Amino acid sequence: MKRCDTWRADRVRFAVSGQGAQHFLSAAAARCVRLENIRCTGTGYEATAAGADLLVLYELADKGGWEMTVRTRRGPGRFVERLLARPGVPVGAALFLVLVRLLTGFVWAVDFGGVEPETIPALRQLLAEQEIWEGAWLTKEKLSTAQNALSAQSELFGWTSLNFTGGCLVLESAPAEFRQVQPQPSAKSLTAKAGGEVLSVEVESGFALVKPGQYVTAGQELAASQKLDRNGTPVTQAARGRVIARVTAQYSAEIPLKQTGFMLTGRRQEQTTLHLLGTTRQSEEPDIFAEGITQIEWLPLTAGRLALPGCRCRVTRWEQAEQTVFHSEETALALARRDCRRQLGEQFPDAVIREQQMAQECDGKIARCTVQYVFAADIAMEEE
Amino acid sequence: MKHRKPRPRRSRQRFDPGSLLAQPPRQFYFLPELEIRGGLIITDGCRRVLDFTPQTICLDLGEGIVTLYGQELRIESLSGKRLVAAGRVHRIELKNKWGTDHETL
Repeated sequence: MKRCDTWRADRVRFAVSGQGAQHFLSAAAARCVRLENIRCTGTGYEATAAGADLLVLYELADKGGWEMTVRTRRGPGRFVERLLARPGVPVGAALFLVLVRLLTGFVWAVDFGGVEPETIPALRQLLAEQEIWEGAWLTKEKLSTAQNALSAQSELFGWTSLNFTGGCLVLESAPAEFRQVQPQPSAKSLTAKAGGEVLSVEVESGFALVKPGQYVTAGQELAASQKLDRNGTPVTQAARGRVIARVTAQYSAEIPLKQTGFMLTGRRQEQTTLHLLGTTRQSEEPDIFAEGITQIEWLPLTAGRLALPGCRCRVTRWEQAEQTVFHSEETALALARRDCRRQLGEQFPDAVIREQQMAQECDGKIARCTVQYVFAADIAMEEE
Repeated sequence: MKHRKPRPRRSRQRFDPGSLLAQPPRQFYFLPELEIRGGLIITDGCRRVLDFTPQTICLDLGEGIVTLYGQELRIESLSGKRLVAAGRVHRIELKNKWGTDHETL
């Protein structure tokens, strides 16, 4: 095998002596050792060779019974010479360091930590507004801006921190905790917003005027904010609390069988943008629908389980158009029942239904439903 | 009488154009070489250094033995079968290894 002599920098000047020392020269040449500047010294020879071949020369001298001594040695040393003999090693190491320095400036992965999965799309969108995604070059300014934008989302997080190390953007956060502050009670009395039988009186302040088992009518005063003491002097205390009563209420709803409104047509358009190592390539922009629902998906690029510095952003737009829908009678009646329930929930959010009686009819154009609920709910409301 | 310059005799050997395309002798490119370039004597195909003194360098070139005679002879480089010698060369002796032919330059 031909050996590369280009990088041989370590030079050794040695002397060899003994009987038939010229054979040593031939033997060294046969082992592909390059000898230079060979001089006859009388008792032997002096020559110059590469430091890397010194072991071979010693071995030959031992084998042939010659005496070999090193006179001078110059050069960067054996280690450096061997390193230089394989230039791919230092060049590869330098290239590796450069690539590590360069590539870790890009975002390879975004770790959202323990953030709820339903919150992640909103966070993605927020980061995308700051031009932060997998494959983007991240600067301190960008990171700081994104941090400020995240901190502004006080309804989502109580505390947030964005850390970027080794190409991984880590979002640390703590969920927001809300503490209800009791409003200062006003000096108003509590009245009934519907009539019924009082089941329990939970008045926290003020002066209760009703007792459990008592029937009250709509607008009747349930708790007063003022009372006269023995001397006839009025004592004022803001009324607050709950009065649970059994109430009977009736709700009705009408749903036409033919309805017109904005609805999804089933057509959609996709637009994919590829972000890779700071570059962006967008697919041809389709004709965007005038009306529609937009869905944005961020799909990081991976090779198996290995993250790559890039991602695809897929924007899907679902078309909405004004359409006429014909409900069946069963569907229209079900919608009417649901509307009655919605009305009850709006008026009495804490209602617990005990009984319900339903009357429904459909004349071919409109479905009508009337429901009478018997329920328990808080009927106390502040006097207007 | 005008003296005419004698014409050189043409070789009677007939020229064969086909020899231009003929292959060189067998193992031609593996035969040893001896080249004198300036003050250097370059040999390719040197099997062994038989003798080396400031006055003599004797080399084994396979079937032949080359001996350089002179003063302050030295070997500049020896690597594989390539040897570069230098010094004041007075005489080069080419000898068949079996002693049958002998030539001096």
